[in-house]
Amino acid sequence: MLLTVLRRLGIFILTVLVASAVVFFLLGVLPGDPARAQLGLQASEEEVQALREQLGVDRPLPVRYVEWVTGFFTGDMGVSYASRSPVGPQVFDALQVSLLLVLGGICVAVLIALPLGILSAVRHHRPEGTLFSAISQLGISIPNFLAGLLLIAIFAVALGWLPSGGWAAPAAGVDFFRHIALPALALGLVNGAILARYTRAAVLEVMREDFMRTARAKGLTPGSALIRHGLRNALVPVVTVTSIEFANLIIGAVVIETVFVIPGLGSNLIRAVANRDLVMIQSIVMCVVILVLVVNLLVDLLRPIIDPRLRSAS
Amino acid sequence: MRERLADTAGAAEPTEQAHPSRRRRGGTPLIIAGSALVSLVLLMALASLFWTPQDPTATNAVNRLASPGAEHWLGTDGLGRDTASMLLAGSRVPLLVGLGTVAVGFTIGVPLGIIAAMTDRGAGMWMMRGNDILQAFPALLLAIILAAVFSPSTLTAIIALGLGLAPGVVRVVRSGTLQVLSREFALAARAAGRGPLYLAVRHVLPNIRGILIVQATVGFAIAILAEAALSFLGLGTPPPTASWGRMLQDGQAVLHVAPLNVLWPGLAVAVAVLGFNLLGDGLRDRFDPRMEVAR
Amino acid sequence: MSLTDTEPLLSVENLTVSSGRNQLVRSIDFKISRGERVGLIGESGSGKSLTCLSVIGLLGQGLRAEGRVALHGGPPKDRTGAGGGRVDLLTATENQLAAIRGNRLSMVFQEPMTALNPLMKVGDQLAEIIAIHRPKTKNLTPRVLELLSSVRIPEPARAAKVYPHQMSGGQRQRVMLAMAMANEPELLLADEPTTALDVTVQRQVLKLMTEQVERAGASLLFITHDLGVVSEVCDRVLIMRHGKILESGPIDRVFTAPEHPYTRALIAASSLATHPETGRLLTLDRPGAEPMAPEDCQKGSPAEQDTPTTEPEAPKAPGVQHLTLPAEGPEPVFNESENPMIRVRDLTRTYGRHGPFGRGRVVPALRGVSFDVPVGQRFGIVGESGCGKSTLLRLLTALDDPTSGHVEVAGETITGRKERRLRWLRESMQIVFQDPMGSLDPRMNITDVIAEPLRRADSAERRHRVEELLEQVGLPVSSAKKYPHEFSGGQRQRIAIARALVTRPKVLIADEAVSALDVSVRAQVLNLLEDLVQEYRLTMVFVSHDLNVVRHSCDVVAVMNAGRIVECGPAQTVFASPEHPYTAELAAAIPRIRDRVS
Repeated sequence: MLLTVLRRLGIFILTVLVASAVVFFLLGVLPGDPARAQLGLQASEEEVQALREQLGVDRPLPVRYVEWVTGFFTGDMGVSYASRSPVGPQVFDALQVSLLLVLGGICVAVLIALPLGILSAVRHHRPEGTLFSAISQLGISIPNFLAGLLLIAIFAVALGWLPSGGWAAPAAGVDFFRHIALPALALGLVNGAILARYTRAAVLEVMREDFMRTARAKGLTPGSALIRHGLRNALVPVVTVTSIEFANLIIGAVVIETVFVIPGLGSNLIRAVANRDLVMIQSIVMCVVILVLVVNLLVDLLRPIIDPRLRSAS
Repeated sequence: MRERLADTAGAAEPTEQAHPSRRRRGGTPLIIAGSALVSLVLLMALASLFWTPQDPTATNAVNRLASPGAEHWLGTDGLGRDTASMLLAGSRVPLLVGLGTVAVGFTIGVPLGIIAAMTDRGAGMWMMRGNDILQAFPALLLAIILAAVFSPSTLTAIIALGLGLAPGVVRVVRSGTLQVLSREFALAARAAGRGPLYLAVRHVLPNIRGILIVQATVGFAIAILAEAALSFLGLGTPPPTASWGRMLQDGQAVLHVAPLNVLWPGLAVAVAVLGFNLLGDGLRDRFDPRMEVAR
Repeated sequence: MSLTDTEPLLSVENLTVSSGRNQLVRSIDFKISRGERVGLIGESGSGKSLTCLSVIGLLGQGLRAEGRVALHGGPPKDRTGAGGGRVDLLTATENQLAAIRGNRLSMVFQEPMTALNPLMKVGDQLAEIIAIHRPKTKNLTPRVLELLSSVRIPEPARAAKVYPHQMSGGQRQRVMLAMAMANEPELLLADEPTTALDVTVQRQVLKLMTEQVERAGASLLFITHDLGVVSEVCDRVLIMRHGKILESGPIDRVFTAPEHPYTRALIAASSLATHPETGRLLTLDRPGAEPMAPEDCQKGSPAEQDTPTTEPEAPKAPGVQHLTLPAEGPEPVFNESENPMIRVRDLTRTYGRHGPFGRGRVVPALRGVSFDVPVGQRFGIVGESGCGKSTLLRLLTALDDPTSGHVEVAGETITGRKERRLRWLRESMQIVFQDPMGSLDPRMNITDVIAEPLRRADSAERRHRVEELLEQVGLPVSSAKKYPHEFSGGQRQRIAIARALVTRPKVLIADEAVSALDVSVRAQVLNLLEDLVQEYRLTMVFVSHDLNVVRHSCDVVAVMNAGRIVECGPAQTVFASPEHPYTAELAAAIPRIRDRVS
């Protein structure tokens, strides 16, 4: 058991390193000269060279990569090309905001998905089951930023109940919830619909299993057979899909933050792209990728706890 | 003796083995509904190539945010452009990106998936580890990176989204191929001296056809959603080419005064995505309801 | 059917099961008395399982049962929903049925690997069934352990704490049996409960089941396709076909003096009875027509013969040495001969995992095997699952590389050769696989399937050869343009045989080639194989778990166990007087109708 965890951790660290190399070389090799891009075509060659040295982009790539990686994991992510201020604190603040938003989103998604998915599976041959499926089908087809815009139009513009954007720290109490409600809902609604469909499929699949027939033959009613034997089995694939959805949610947050003007990783990323601020982009992309990998790691460690068949061999 | 054998073999045996369920066709209403919506979007795109009610790029400072009427069927936007015309013309980019994404994703993903399944276990496993790492880069993130490195354009969007789709295709194709290869007919072909290329073309591809078609429709839906998001962020097809995502971005600025300007392009995106999703679901029900699909 | 003086436990009247307008079970009637053990026998598609499922009310969606199925009253048990009295099972509410299932009526299913909840400990699953029906019972552990030991699970205390995947198939089926018997039901339903098990395990499970049913004074409805199994367990049998009961009666009477021609044919086909003059297996001719009374069958039916001979008495393999694996010392070379078609020496194969970060774990599948197969011999390999026979087969056909040792075919070494240098082997050695569904690509038409091994042939030659083969395997030439799903299991196996013969090979490998077929079809395919082996002068290696089939179809047999050949010799001698204890155990475990018949 411990060995499995260690093995999985080893794979995780290796994956993060490979991913960091991909991020670095993708963003470090492909673009042109950041100093020239910054100063414009009018600047003299001396000025540009001076900036290159100041930014450290004149040295060989592998050296820069090692420096960047060690810096990244010690919190010293470098200096922004655009604002000339350290990137680390900005990214760290933005990360906290994004994490709260994503957690809010996943809560909404799971709260929608589980009941909707289970009900539409159990009632799949009745009208209400079809209705539930139709709702989730519709949910999948709406981009989350559109859901955000519609929520703003209804709750902020028409009804005036909630702010149309902006952010408040959790310390602000009620104000925090007022600000996070709409973006979390926008994120969670769409991803909840996807998750609901997978939940439905998983429950339907489980209901066809032989051991469910055994449970009925033991004298359990269909309902109690599903609760006692079916749901935990259906949970195994649902948990795996949730990890994939988590990744989608993180990337969805990038767009939602722009809609709701939230100072998270996403809105910083978009701003950095507009400014061609490579150090900032690298750091944020790396953060997002690590988040995705961490979620995958957690799910991989969680699955054997739910499913004993995954414990012995791997 | 021969005649007797021929006689017995020609007669029907118990029919349970013939799997009647396999021939029952499922998913038809979904396929019809999906095809109808997809055709609607295709027609819009085709029509816009020859005719739009107004010039979708012509601004008009006087007639901004006009209400729907005879001249402007769905009104005008914040720059006075005709919403209906933009809606028609804006369907081309999502469809183009969808087609390109699926093409790129499949060109990379299908061969790699089959190779990963066919090579011996060690090499195949390393390929899948690499694939797992790539899957940690969501398509939209790749698109944002590429838009940052190069300038935003339809082509970068297609390449990035295609690259983002590929790992999912690799995974699905690999597991489909493994399934085909584990069947006895694949073993029989090997025992008959047939090589890997023959196996891939004659046995694997025809048998994972359903998986590929379903995955393509899902890829289309994902690409249209992602393209809308990119255009909305200003990282997709640059102006003045009309696209639904950009209309949504413009609409957000005037959300307080003209909420309908968000509704129309939003509806268009939803219809296109819903169409492809329904089509994919229907086809999956027809081929195999338990098929694995990567989103 | 006597037993009318006492009220029956279960009475089925006019039961019809239909799917849409398609009637799968057609108004059948039968009764089961208290303590009676009834076998319901039928081939696939006969409706036997549907009958069983409609009794317990677990028919799948889209299936409708009509008629009357009544469970009659007995000593009232505590708080059954129906008060222990008479219940009409088809009209009972879901709650009433739930109170009966697992309590007065319980069931054991076919597939032990999937019938238990994989996420729940075995003990908890056993405790659950008691808790459902006896909610007041405190401390279930002693009862759970008692149940586990009653089905002879070793170390019950430990077994209660493991998950189903940590048990073998036989153990899981015993747990299922313990579960079904936990509340001492009045009727146990068993749907092919041992079909998925090896014969030696099957024997133990059948014995346990009879014992348990007897001890509880319960009745048994045993569904099976295997006449041998039924004769070990049941008092009375019902023969079912195409949704109808054709014949019923005490097992001794039905098996010795069958009245219905189908029953006669079924018994003949099951016991692999041969025609006294031609020596060919008796088959159900024109199986589509009904009722059938083929001349062959009538003439050769066991009912009209005093002692039907299974085999001609003359030994088929003169001069073959009968050898067993010694407990110590070097492994002998079995069936040694000069200039053999196939020569296998010291063959081993171990499987190990060496992925990235993977711990190496080595599993020996084949542990040193040496034997010869002379030209023209029919060589059988028998063994239970996991004995290494599939691995051996993959090595013989050069579809896998051995860990050590070597294989020669027609004097040429085939092990360790590149695929390019094995072209000749791919033409001179062909395989027929087990699964008639899986061995033909559903997306290829029959011409392409059969002609697949033909590498250098123009289309006219291909067509000609395919047509010739279709005729030889007894299929109409019009089949050439059809697709596999248009054929039945037996016909598909004929197509697979045609494919194997298209290159005019020297060696034919049959991998469980008739195991997935119904007995009546099995006899036809075995006859066909026999004809073609002669016609093509084939050397045949016939791999099977079914000792009877090997005994009929092979000259020499090798018995495998745990990666080794333990005994090898002329087929008749090996089974008539086995020398190795494992062979003896195996031979004793085969359920036989013969015991009843003769």
